[in-house]
Amino acid sequence: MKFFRLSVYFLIATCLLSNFVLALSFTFEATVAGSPIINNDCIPSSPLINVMITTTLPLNIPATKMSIDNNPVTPVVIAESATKYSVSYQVTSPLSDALHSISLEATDGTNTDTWEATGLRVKTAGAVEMLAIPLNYPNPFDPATGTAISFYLTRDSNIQINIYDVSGNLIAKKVCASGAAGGKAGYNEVLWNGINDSGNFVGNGMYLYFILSGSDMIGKGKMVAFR
Amino acid sequence: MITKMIKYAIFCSCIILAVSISYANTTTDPSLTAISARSIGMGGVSLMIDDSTAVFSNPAGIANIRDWQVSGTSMTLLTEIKQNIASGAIKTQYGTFGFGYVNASLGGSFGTMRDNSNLGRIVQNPSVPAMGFDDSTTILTYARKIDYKGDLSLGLNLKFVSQSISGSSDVSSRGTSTNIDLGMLYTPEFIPWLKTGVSLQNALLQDLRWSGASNAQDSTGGFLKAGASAKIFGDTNLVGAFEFDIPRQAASSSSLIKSGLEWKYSKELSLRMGLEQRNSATGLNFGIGLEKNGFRFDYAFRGGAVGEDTSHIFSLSFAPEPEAPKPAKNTYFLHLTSPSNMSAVTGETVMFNGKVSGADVIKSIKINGKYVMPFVSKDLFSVYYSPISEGINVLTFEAFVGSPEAVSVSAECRVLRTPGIKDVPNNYFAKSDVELLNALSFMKGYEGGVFKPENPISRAELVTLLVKAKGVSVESLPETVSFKDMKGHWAAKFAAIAAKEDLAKGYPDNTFKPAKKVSRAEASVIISRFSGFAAEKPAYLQYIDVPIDNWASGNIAAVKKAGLVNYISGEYFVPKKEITRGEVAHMLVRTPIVSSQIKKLFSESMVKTEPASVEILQMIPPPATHETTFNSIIVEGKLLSAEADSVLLNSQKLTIISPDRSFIKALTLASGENTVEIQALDKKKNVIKDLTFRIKKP
Repeated sequence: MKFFRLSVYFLIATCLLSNFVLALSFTFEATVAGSPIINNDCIPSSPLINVMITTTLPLNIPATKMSIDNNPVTPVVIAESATKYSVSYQVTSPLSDALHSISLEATDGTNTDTWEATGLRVKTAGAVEMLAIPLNYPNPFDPATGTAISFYLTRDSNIQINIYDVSGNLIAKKVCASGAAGGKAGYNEVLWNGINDSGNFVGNGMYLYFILSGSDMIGKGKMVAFR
Repeated sequence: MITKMIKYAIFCSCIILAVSISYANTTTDPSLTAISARSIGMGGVSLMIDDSTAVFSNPAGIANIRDWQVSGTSMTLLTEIKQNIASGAIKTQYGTFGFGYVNASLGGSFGTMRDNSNLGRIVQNPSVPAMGFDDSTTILTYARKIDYKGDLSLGLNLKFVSQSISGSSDVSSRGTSTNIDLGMLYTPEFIPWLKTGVSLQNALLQDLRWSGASNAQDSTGGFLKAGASAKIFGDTNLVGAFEFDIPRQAASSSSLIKSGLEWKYSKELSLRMGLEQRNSATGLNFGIGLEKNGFRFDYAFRGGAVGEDTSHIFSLSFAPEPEAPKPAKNTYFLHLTSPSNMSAVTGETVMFNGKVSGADVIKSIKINGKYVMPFVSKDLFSVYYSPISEGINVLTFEAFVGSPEAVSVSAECRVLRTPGIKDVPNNYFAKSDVELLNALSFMKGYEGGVFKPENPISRAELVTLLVKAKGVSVESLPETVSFKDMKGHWAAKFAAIAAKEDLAKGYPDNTFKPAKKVSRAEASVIISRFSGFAAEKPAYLQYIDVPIDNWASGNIAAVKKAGLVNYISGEYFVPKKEITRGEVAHMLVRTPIVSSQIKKLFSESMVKTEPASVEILQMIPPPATHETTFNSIIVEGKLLSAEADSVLLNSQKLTIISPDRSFIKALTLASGENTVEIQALDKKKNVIKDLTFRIKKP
């Protein structure tokens, strides 16, 4: 009896404790136009906003409130699984050239969590610009494994990356279409495999790369090949 | 031979290309693309360059430098890469040695990492120091011209490539390699306007080996270059060139064509343009070269597809200019043609004509230290001088010739001023000879002061003339009649002496025929004997109408050789023509006996002192009107009086040269009438002396 009582108490305590530990929470993974975003990123003017909500406990579709610049919008919520929900909204009226914010609140009635991204820049007027200097990783890099060249664009654009050696010879080129990887508004990464136009890996040394939009150079960087 | 060489070169190139196919890591040898502003201005054509920068593209090119040369180029590529190039070459008796150095450097590459708190985005890693890269090549060159049909030069480079990466200890490393370049330039013997060239860069394709933090090996690659240049339309100042570069394991796989033009507008200015194909862009390049005192500054503009690929390149070179050969005094010779030394002139003002052999330009002439105004054309001059006094005048001509330094050459001319003979005009070929013989009393005129120069001369007159010239006194001789037709004749004694002296023998019938007119042939025989010339039959025909077996051919050859008949131009002597008195005078003056007497006459002259001048200007201008075919006149003079302050020539002020207050200006003569006005001004700009003369040039 004593043992039975202790067991019940243990069971009740466990349930109570479980409820405490296993309280519902939300994890948000947001993409805009297919690219993950963080505060102060550049986004296109009519992006597809998608926030993937992952819950810690199975849940029916949570109630969501999405706002753009504090204006509520009605997203489409699709349950991917019992704990994963996709919340999407396609901006139809182009956002103005300014800084914008997107927020999302999800609740199960009891637990509420929010996600927000602010300082999202939209810039459609004028030539495409680059925010911050381009960087490549790894740097130095082994040509056999290549390196990723990263840069931020203010808007979608056709991009060409010219890679030069220290004698000023153009040794490789990468071309990225507007809206595709390497030509999207916001953060881009373009992988270079360390092979020059002759089909050979480059040797140890420093290489200069220009990021071009049309014939305008909008950014440049220096990378070191080393093995 | 050339066909074989070309085939061999192509064969070697194919072998090298075939074995060069590999997938090695490829790095950059900066010397492969190190070229000067001059080359870039010509579309990047560097294979055919013949200055010290040829060490980078074709070592054979330095074989053509004259003495020694150094050059430096600095440029910024793609707004980031600093490239410096230096080269030099020196010619020795063993060939031409050169050096080259090129360095390219780039810095400021930052280490990076992924920021997991920001979606793993790439950010700068602040704990890793910035990295830098340095790439340099040092070259030692030897080139030599080879004796072959045409102009052939061969060259060889020994190259040392060095690269380094700086930064943290994880990356600090250095790579080195050694290589050679081979080059050739050839101008065919019968196509002097064409030059061909070929160059194999990094012939050994040696790898760059790293040490330090890296032990990798990289291929440096190379190029096979072939090209040609040509003087366009035979114009040595306009050269066109092209070049074809084939990469071998180079960073780029594209073969490149380059072409350009260089126009040497003047000694100081060259203009260039070209079309350069690069793997980044093909575009027009432009260049300009400025040269002065051995220094040459070159600028080139090279456009690129991207604005940042546009370059402005500057080069500075120095090569000592060849020393202008110093004119040696003894290479010039002043020769007075008319009147010549020891001749007769008439009138107070005489025009002297002369030549300074070896001179390109006559700058000025002085006569007896006085400034005169000669008409000049290259090495010829014509100048008036006055006053010529009666009797013997000794004139010292001093001509200043040469450029840039003037050298003086002088000659003395002695002339006898005679009153002149009425019927012997100034332009008569033997005027001076007649005047001299008249002055010496050898050949007097007739009553009325005439000479009748075109009259024939009789045998009696001629032998009398010659006997007197010999100085034989006939008065004391007994009356001797050698010839049956000379009895009582006024020239009997002269004829007898002439026969005795073997000057003029009589005829077989023992007559002399004193009145017979003397022919040219006879005069030549008599005067030849008078002069003591040997009368050997000539080995070849002297005149068409005097066969070698002619009775007088030996004497005619002798007088011709001695210059006695230099008034006869052409190939006909006309031996039977009656010789004139003028011709006889001309011949006699040139005989040894008479010429020595003329010399004695001139050597016994007194040098006259000219009175002190009270003139404002010392100047001896030509007459008020004069006609000439010369190109220019040198206006020259000297201010004499203290009152005279300046001189105007055709209203232009002339520079007064200290300390003798002289002035000089060469005036080019235009076709038609040229007016020359010279004015001397005092300090208040008043004209105190005015002189005008007109010169007509057809």
